[in-house]
Amino acid sequence: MKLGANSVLFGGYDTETAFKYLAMAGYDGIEISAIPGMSEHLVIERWQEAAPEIKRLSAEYGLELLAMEQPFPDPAIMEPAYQAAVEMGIPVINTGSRGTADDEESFQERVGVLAELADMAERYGVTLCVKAHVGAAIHDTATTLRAMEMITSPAFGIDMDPSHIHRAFEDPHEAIVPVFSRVRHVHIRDCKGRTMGEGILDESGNVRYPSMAPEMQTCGRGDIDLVRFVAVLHELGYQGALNLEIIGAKEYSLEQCCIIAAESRGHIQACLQACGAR
Amino acid sequence: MKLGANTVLFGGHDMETAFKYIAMAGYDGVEVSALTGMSDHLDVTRWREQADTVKDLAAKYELEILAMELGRLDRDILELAFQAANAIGCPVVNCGPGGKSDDEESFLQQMEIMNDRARLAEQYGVTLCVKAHVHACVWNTPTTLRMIESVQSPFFGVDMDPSHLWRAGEQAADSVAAVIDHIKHIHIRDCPGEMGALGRPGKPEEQANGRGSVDLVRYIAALHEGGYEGPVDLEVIGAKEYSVEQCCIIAAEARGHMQACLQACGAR
Repeated sequence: MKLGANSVLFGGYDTETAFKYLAMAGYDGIEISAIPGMSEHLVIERWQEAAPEIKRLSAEYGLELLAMEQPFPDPAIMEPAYQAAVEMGIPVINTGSRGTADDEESFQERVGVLAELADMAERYGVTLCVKAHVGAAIHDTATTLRAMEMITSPAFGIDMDPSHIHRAFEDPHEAIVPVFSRVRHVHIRDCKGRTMGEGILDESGNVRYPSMAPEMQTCGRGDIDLVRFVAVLHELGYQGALNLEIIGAKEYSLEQCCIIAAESRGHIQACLQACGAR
Repeated sequence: MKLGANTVLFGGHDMETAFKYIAMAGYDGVEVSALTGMSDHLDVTRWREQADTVKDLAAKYELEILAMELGRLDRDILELAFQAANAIGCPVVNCGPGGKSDDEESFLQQMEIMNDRARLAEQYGVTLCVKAHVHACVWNTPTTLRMIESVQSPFFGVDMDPSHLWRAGEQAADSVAAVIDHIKHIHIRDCPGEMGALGRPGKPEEQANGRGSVDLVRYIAALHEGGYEGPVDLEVIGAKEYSVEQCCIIAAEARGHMQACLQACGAR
């Protein structure tokens, strides 16, 4: 497995800062954030300007371009994202399904769009990955399996994210098994609790760190059994990218971002060593 | 086990910087560096001026003071360290064994010194811990066992450091059982290169847990199986010129690794 991190963790800083400190933290690669509002590392409308610099940074810091995250499953935005990926040699584009959970009409409509986007990905020679996401049309293993059945393109893959599966009240190390045949990317982070109201409480019972505060997403700080999850990935033979994705740290200090990145990498490294994958 | 980090990692920065980022990295506690030349955090010759600051920082950042590292066995300095430890509520003072490897006269001389210093520790109610250290009179498990036999005081213990044992040709996980009853402190870090190469410990980033060759997953599991519940303090040497961000990364990476090791063996 190749360990990377999504540059969105350093969303308050420029692209080179993200490369510099992710390399320092020992990652093998990077996922480029094209998430508007959370970072300005890759603005899809201006990808031609950004691509040469991203390729230069990849070479300078020795970080493989493992993936790109472009969250809008919209053909008008996704096509230039694919073009950018081809130009930079990025093999995987991660997106969300959007839509509404437990709404059949929304599910059908979203899967139709994703199938169209997968066909487009196939033409560009890249892989479109979608993950189960809290509140979205694809939000748990059951809906993931349905999408896998309905979208037959080999350019469509699953982006497995244990933090969303955990919040769907499933155990990620078990949920990975039925979807594994189509897993082409893994997003990884921890999660404290399964609902927004949980987290670390102080002595008075007030929430000190909300469950999804960036530091609580750091691998090893939450409730997910990531040791087992990584071991099952290894047992199943997964050899793709494992990218840390921490959301919400745009206002965090550089030291805080470095700590979240490094602590997570140390944790995943030990998980890999514990199961014999490294 | 309680996870801490020696402030010497932040030796190029002030003591509050060390406490602040060690806390941010999620450690339970801190080992205060009194290693002159490597840090200016605690100068035991001025401990009365600094004790309140150390206690205030521990309270502010919610870090337990798990240990202090002095490094030297000089009686006058060590007595000041014991006084300081007593004043700040620090239970353990770590020192190196001194002396020379494979020199019987040196070994016996150092044992005499350690017996005296253990009696001194007892007067102040703190524990003196000594580790096997490359090139010193105690440098591997056989010499550690001889030290345990030679210094029989409840105020004396072994500070087990897998990186020095690795350099001495041992995989620390295999050595835990022999000394577990006498371990009162753990210094931890990784070490690059071949086992038994008595060379340098590697660059600071190479000492971060998980980056080197020591099997720390199995080492921590062995400590847990042996019932060890004391402090495990990261000790990374040589980062005095490093930026705060570099120090933060080493501290955090090592803690993340240890957290997973503890989770993997069921200790957390």
